Amino acid sequence: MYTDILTSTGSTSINALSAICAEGDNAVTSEQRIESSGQIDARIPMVKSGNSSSDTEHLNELLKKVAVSQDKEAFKELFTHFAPRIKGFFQGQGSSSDKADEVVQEAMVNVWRKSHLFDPMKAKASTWIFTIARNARIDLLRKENRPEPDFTDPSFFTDSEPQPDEIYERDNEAQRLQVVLAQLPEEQSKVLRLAFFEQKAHAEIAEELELPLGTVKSRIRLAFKRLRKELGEN
Amino acid sequence: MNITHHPSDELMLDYASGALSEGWALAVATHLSMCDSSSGLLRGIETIGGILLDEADEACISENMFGSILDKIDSDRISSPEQKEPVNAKKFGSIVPQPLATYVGNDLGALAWKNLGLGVRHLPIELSDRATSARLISIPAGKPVPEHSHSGRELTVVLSGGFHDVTGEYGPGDIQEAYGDFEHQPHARDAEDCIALAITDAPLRFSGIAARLVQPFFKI
Repeated sequence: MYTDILTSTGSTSINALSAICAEGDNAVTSEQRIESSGQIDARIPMVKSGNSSSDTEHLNELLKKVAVSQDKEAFKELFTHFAPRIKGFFQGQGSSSDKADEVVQEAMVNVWRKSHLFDPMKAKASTWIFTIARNARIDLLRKENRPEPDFTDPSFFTDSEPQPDEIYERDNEAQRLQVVLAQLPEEQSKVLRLAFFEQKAHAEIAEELELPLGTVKSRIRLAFKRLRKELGEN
Repeated sequence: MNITHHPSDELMLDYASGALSEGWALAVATHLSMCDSSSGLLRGIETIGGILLDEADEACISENMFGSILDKIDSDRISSPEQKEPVNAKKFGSIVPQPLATYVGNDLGALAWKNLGLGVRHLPIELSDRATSARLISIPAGKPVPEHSHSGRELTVVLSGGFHDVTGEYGPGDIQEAYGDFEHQPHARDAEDCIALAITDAPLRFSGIAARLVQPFFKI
């Protein structure tokens, strides 16, 4: 199976992915690049923001193909979509381009290796890949373990009987959270962005913004109040 | 499980973003393993992370990166593919939640406790993170822990039994988040010994005496 893919497409063509770069006036979209490469079905739209539900579904499908059949074309499409974003995500202050490249590489290798753990019932592809990239960064930059609960443990959720509309609900929830994020006051959204992009604890964020710790805490709490409302919690 | 004490929002954000060092993350992950409600919140925060990733500016990726990645995963196929370790963490009973089991094993009944006197026992946990110290602590039923205060932060997660102090009642899965000069004297519940995971800021290595002054109870 694996050898078949290599034989049919030729390993050089798989490797020969041109530089992905969206800087400057000549920026091209992922879609154009993929169409011009002629290797991947151009009927599949790739939207930059990646937020429509068909897009989400498509990315989920790609991940499942990687998990089930070690599909390298699907993996390449995931790479084309996510690698530039992972780098952009983490390339804040203090993270050199080399380090960011290392994180992207480690993250994408782990996407391949851990793809069997991806469960579209629990998270959409971009959420899952965010967690993989976050952990790769901890591993590479801090050389630390990342203790995590095991949500794949069947004994974990007492009411985990899968519902037919669960995936739909998950997507729906993600879309509502996107709206919440877009509507947050600038000062709250800035704290969240700093936390994620720079992997900074709230106390460090308070220092960086020269704000009292209590102010940063209350911004996080206000933002989470909105978040909880969409998650159906009190 | 009736969990009433959850991590603060800011601690959850620090955990979800990856900012917490290993010791603190171990406490939060242990709580999450026992708490559906905090786990739901975590998935919401991670979804925000995913949305920010979707919306991130696309940075330049070098031509040969995909090739290097393929080389790396191709070498995987020679060695055996990653297998998930069998999961035997249970939500209830004396089985240790999975993130903690990685460090201390699966059986709370078979730990190599060290006596600290007055029936109190502890088990230091080795971390790669030098900023925190982690230990399991066991308090005999109905007994108090000598009154103590902390510098910095202390996270305590109850694994079995429970305790109470001025801030309330803590049972299995509950997490206590204590900061600064907070002084408390936890009492174990009468019915059974209280076993908890306790994470503190690591004492500064060069200030042996000072460390002992601020941590009279945990002196080692």
